[in-house]
Amino acid sequence: MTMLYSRHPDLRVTAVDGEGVVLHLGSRQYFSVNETGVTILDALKQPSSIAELVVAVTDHYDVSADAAEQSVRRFLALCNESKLLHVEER
Amino acid sequence: MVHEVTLRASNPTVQSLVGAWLAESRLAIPRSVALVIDVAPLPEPVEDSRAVFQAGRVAIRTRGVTENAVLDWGPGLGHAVIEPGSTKARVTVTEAALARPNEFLRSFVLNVCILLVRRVGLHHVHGATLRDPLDRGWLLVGTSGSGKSTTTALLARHGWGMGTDDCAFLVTGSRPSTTDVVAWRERLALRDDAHTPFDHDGGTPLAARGKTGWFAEELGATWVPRVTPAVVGFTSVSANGRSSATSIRASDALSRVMQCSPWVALEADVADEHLGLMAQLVEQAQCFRFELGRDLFSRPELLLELIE
Repeated sequence: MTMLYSRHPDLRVTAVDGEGVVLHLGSRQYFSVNETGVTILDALKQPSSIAELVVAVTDHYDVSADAAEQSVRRFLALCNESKLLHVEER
Repeated sequence: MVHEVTLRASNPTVQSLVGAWLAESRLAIPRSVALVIDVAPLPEPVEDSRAVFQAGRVAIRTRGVTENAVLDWGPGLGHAVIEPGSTKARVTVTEAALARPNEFLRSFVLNVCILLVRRVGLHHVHGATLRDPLDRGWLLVGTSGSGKSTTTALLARHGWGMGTDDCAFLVTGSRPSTTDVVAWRERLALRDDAHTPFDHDGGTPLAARGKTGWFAEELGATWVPRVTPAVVGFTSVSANGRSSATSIRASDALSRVMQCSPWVALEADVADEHLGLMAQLVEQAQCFRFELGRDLFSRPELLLELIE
């Protein structure tokens, strides 16, 4: 069983100069995210597994898969805390 | 053809009051929107489970332009409905509401207008608009008490053009890939006890607000209805009396604009347009955090020097 993550439909991500601002229309909260966060949120337009998100990061940045996975897991945990994600099982 | 907020009120006092205020605003919009106002007892409240967006004493319920928007000014003073996809608001106010003309206009009707003009591409932001002596557009963004109005008055007295000291709207720019800012024309208002670089002679007392107001021309300035900002500044009052400007990143600027344009989160179907205008704005302009001090009073040109 694999967990698939995607952006909550109420989420809007606006990228400027590589960084981004995330607005949750439901809670009316907004957050700043760094360049890696924008890359992960872009990948999360489609339901994605952690392995797929790691590939999205390593495709963009010169980092090891282990380091990318740590970044992805950390970012997903933060997003989950703020209810920015939809999670399903495949 | 000039497009405007058109008004039909059954009560002649309301027609005159709101009509004069709308005419004064000179708001330029791409197509007309309409206000229909009746003075009558309010309709019975209807159960509405949608999240409330509170703007002062006005409760706003809407999720998007494909469903109705309801505004309640209360308790028991006014009620407005904008039907799905419509650019017409039906407003009901009580006789008691008319005893509070300032709140009626500047809180209730203004919020109705803000929602209406979102449907024709204008997105509200709390900001002052100016044109500097080099013909560059400026947008000063900040909350109440952050020095926007005092600074705008000072600059207007020293050769800058001004649009508004607080009520502005982001719109698609007249040049490709730009965001412009349109001003809602009204008197620049300063608190009567505010320390200002000039006396308050010649202004209009705004008793209900404890302020004195001036139109741009009364400050010796040209009124500027629209600017394409080349400078966006986020203002606060300097603690030590000295002014400063700190360049900030576009993403930081975007967060700060969102803070002063909270309607962005109100309606999902126009949020993308609103966010796109904000993103364009912070990308086209130099963005600064301004701490505004009293040294500007004797040397307003300091603001230009600080951004060089």
